Amino acid sequence: MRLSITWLRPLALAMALAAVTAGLACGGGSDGSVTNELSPNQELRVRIAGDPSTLDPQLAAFAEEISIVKQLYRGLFTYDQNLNVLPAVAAEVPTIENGGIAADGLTYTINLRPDATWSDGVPVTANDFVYAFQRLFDPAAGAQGYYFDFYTSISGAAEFAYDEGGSADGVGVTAIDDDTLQITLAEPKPTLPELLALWPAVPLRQDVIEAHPDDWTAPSNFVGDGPFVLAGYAEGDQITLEANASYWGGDEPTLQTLVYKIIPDDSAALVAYQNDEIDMTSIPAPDASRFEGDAEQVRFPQLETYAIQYNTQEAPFDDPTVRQAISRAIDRDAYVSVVRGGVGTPTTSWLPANMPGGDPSAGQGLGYDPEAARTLLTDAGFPDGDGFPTFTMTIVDDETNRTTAEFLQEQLRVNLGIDMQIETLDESAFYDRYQVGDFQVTWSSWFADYADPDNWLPQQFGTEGGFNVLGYSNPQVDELFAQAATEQDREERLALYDRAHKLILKDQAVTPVFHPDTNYLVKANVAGLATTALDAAPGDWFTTNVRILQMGDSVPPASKP
Amino acid sequence: MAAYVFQRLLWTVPVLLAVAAITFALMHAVPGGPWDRSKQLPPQAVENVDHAYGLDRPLPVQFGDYLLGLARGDLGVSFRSHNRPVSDILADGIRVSGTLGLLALALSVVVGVTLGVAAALWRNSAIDYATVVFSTAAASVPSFIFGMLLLVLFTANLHWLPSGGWGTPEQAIMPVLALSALPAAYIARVTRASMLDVLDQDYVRTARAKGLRENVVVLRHMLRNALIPVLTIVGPLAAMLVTGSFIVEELFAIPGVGRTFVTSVSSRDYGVIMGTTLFYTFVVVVANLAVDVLYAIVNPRIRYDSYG
Repeated sequence: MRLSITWLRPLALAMALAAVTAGLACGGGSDGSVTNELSPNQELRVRIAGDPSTLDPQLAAFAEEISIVKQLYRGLFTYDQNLNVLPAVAAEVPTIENGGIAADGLTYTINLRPDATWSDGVPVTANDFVYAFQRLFDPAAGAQGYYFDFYTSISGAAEFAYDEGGSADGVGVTAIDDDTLQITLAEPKPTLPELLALWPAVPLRQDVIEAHPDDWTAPSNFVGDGPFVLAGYAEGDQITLEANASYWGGDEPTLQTLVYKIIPDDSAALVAYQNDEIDMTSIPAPDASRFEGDAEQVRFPQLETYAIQYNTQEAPFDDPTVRQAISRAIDRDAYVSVVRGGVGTPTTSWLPANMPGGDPSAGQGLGYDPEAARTLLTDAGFPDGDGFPTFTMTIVDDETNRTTAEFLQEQLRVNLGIDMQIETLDESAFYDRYQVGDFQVTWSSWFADYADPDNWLPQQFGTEGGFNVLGYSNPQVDELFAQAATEQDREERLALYDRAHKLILKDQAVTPVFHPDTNYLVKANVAGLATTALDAAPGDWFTTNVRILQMGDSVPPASKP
Repeated sequence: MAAYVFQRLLWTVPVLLAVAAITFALMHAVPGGPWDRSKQLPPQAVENVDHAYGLDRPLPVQFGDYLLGLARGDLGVSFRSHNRPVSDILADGIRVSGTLGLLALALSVVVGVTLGVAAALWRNSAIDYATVVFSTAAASVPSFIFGMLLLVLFTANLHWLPSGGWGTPEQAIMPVLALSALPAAYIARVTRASMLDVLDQDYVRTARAKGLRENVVVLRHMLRNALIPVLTIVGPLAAMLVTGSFIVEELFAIPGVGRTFVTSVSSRDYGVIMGTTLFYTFVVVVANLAVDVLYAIVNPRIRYDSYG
């Protein structure tokens, strides 16, 4: 049975998609035209693949969790469509010029909007932020998730979070009065406003959490300060949000209802979309080329980079020349068109070009050139690949990863004459080894939490970086990171990161291959979708913009009686 | 008979204990834990969460603790589903999968036995050949292909049925069809074969010679005996159907226990793995017991009085 699934599954998908595509061409029920009038039914139905593990904003970390939590809460700040920081619960974005940030960059004084309220009508106060931050760092509160260490530059936070003699009261977030919050830092953190616009930094209600410690995120107990409230949750089936009647933000939603339908199977989700049960669904990578250019396709770049990663501590990949040879042996244009159906951007740069500090020309000196690749491999002591040991690429077992690994295997065999084996593992087993650098070569991606190199370089490539699984260490790079971490001038800071980035690419600590796109089908009557490069689902930072238009009159097909 | 059933039920306890021990050992032996995901949890957070769930204690202590909880009816909580109690997850999933499975079982028994009997009575007729074709085709096409074909036909093209979900009768039609095709084929084959076996038996000839009407001969004398081998396979089929099919539940977005089980294994959600495995064990044990009891009812020659 196991074997037959492996080879029959693509067949089933192909059959289904052929039918779905045929169905899309002939339309369903209406004549397909969209009027400018609002539909009386302001409901947006979004597909998610599985139940969120949590709706606690401090624990949310995966796309569906983040996407839902963002609708339920508003923090101090939010983003505009170009990812500039805007005030939300805060009255304005603090700067040194307006006195919100002290000259040493260590004290932030943030005035709150007096009219911000929770969904039960209680005003949002500075104390709600104080409580939330104390909870975020508390080792015993069960809320230390994937992101608390984004905020440990706050004074007293690290001591409390790492149980090194700190306490809740020692955390440098204090309420001066109901409408004034003060944040003091142990060291300057120039990206703090960006970080405070993210979902883990939203206010929380101490009274609600303490009254329902185990199920405060259940619909019956839920209280939020965002444009939508949690109205219902049927496990394994759907999550329903409704417009928050007491929302205060000035961007009150047109949508009355937001439904997240749980549909695990990608092909079944396409059928559900075709049958008008959902309004948007992602296009699976293996089927990208079928929907390319479809009128309902919504495709835009995201801040994500896929790269070949090496264990740079072990031979033969401890030699930068070997890694450079591999970079020059990979035809990235062919990869994107063959494996990704043309969806995405081939790259030699780790930082995406649309990221602040990104440079589209970065790494281009090590782009595809088989001739140069062979020369580099000869320089490393392996003419024509002779004597190069057979090595293993370890990947998470899924269809796209397997195709990718096979493509890379072939490129390296043809262009360098070296032999790569492929090892597939299930997700847990893979990350168990990945986190400790237990691999020779792997294939993995990094997705931005916020749009700054601060989120993309020091943790991954610093010698002491928390996510440096590569064993990569370059003292010059470390020095640049140390300077950038506290540099207050934005341009200067980005320039420091740019220099570090180019050193990393010269070393080929990783070999960047491509930046994927978000690729969705969205019904034609969904208007006002405003996408950003940080979307977990298209437009999910600006759901308040979305409105559902009336479809044109239904034209019954002539053949039906 | 009652003593026999009681004795068999008592045996369930050591069986469940053995399955619990093996499952516990295996799931901890597999590389990777519940926090090994595509995003890395900071080491400090891993330490705290391990401590909160008791995963930092020695494995024998954890297992002992699990058994103590089990004795009290406490199956622990899910790591992946905002700390929902495993018993809640199981209760919801079993209700859905059980309903789906019983519907599929009923359909496959009705279709399978009817086709099997008809094929045997009118041997080498068109209906016989049709049954053979059906049972071969339905047994060879995997349920996800069949399910996908149903989705394409009834949802994508005809727009008659919803693509998935659970709660309305329309939502049950395709999953029940997808789930019952294979068991129906299987039952049809076994019924046909065992009906052909009893066709020429002496007691059947005697019944006819006594001048009994044909439908009495078929129903009382032939079918009752022919059903014994069918019962043997219906037990395991019932266990398989009511415990949920991952493939059908995933394809039709049904929140059943089959999907829960497979998802919990890949996400190393230990409490849910233990809970679902023990539930499966229990269902299989009970289904086999039910079959043995039914043997005695169907066939008077089988008695359990001398057992043990």
